[in-house]
Amino acid sequence: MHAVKVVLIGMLFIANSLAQESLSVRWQSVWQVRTNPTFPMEENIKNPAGGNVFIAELFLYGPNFKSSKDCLYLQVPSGREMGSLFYLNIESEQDCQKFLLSEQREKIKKGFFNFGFKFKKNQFTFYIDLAKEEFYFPNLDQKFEGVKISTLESSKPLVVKNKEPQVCFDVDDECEVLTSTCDLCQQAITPVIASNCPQTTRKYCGAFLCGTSGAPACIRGRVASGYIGPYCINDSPLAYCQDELRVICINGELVCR
Amino acid sequence: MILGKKDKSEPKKLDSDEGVLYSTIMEIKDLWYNPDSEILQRDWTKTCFAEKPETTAELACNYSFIECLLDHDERYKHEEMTSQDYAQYITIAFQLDDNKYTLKLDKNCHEVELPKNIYSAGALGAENQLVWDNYQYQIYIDKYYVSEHEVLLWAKRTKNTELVAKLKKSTRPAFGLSLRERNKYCQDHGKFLLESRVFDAGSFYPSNDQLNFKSEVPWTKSSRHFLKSAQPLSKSDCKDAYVKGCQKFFAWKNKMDIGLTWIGLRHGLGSYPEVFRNTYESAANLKISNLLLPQEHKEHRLGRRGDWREKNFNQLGSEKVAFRCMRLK
Repeated sequence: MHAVKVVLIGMLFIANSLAQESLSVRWQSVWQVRTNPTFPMEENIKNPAGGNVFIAELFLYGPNFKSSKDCLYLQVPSGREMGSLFYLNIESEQDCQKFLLSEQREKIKKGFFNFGFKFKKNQFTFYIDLAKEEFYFPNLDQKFEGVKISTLESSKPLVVKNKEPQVCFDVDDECEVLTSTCDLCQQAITPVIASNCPQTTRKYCGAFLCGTSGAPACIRGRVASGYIGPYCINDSPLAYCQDELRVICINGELVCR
Repeated sequence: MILGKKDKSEPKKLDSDEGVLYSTIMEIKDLWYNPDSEILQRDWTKTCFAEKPETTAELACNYSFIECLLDHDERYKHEEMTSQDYAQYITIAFQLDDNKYTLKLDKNCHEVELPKNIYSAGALGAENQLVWDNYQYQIYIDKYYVSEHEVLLWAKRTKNTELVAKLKKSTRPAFGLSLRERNKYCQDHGKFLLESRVFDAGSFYPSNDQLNFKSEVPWTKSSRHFLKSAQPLSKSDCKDAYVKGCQKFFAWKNKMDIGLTWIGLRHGLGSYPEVFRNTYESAANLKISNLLLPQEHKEHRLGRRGDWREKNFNQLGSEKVAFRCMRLK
């Protein structure tokens, strides 16, 4: 019985090492990490014992530098069952929590009693029992600023399609950021005034010629105009249009008509 | 229990073949953004350009240079690196051990950021002036005119065979494009045709009160300068603004430090006529000041504009009209 256990543990170790080796290459494509604040870093995760939890999402430059993300899930060790660690690749915009029990999850590690993690700067660490496994993310290392690295399906040519302009950055009146994906925009970015935030504006991923009919009004600015009133009024001094067009506030945006 | 406190080992770096991978990425990064002048001495560079580059600025963010390097330099040929050219970036793919890597590098070497501030567009005393600020977004401006070579790469990517046939791998400005093509070129690169107000902001010498005082030229606030004087031109004058008569000192080049403005734009005055998009006075879309106009010509002043409709330029010197782009963020 004891011998069988040793062989099984040995097989597990090989499988785990292989998984870790390919993951260390895969995760060299990581460009952003968000951890689940429910679980403090470097603490042993004990609850919910036997349950499945989402611990972090790793955003990767996928094939052709389109972004996706790997969700990390933990089956928390319990008295009855040892712990397992999984990941699942989904679209950047999808919610990791919705795939918590997905059968498509890939196993990274299994058969452990203690699990914790840490993310700092460009390094992600798993603490598994007495061992420590580290993953280095060069895309988050300042030394490589200006270079983006992908290790996933590098040979496919990129096909850039012109899409309809979409909001890639947005804020509310208190300047709280609602959306921020402009770094992935392959087109020109067009700002449009759509809130009372004096620091920044809504931005579209897509080229609009400001000041022309139907396009966002060109921004004159709060400081230059000296205007402190609400932004969403017709003929707002915060922006201007070409020729005889007027600044109109439609659907909360200053545009030209 | 706090985990992992026993192990004080150094963090693991690029893991599989760390030394080679690290140095490869750093080398490619330097070749793309900051190529060393030593590279200009290599024989194979002659085969890649219509005119031999004279400065490393011409090689930075230059896809033809990288393509040529990977095709001709023994070291990179051996490593079987491949490159792809896209509008806003390039990619370089290579293999180390069994792992494939693709690097993405931005084409942003030749841009300068316009500092956040209040600006006033239009020449001093002009009827139509616009006061505006850019506190809510960032503006990056091309330092140089868009070159024929850059348009050629774009024409190849967009399969515009007519344009490909007309162009050379030259750093001289791209002149022969319609306004529509210029707008399209900039937009395909994630940018816009440079706005007149933005060029003014980047070229008027900064002043606390731009409504009442605006510099006439980019390099000084003083109203005493060589463009108002009958003194013979000097070489140093021609570095400030390349105007008629400067040819005797040195030949004009696009990617040369001439006509520098306070934020680092080149060709602030002199050089070639340049077309802009003017959002507040659409007919005032051309900087007329250029290298065929004599030094005392009235058009050699910041903020002065003409109306350019592609073919009706009024013969005030050069009919070769350049352009550049700007990017918002």
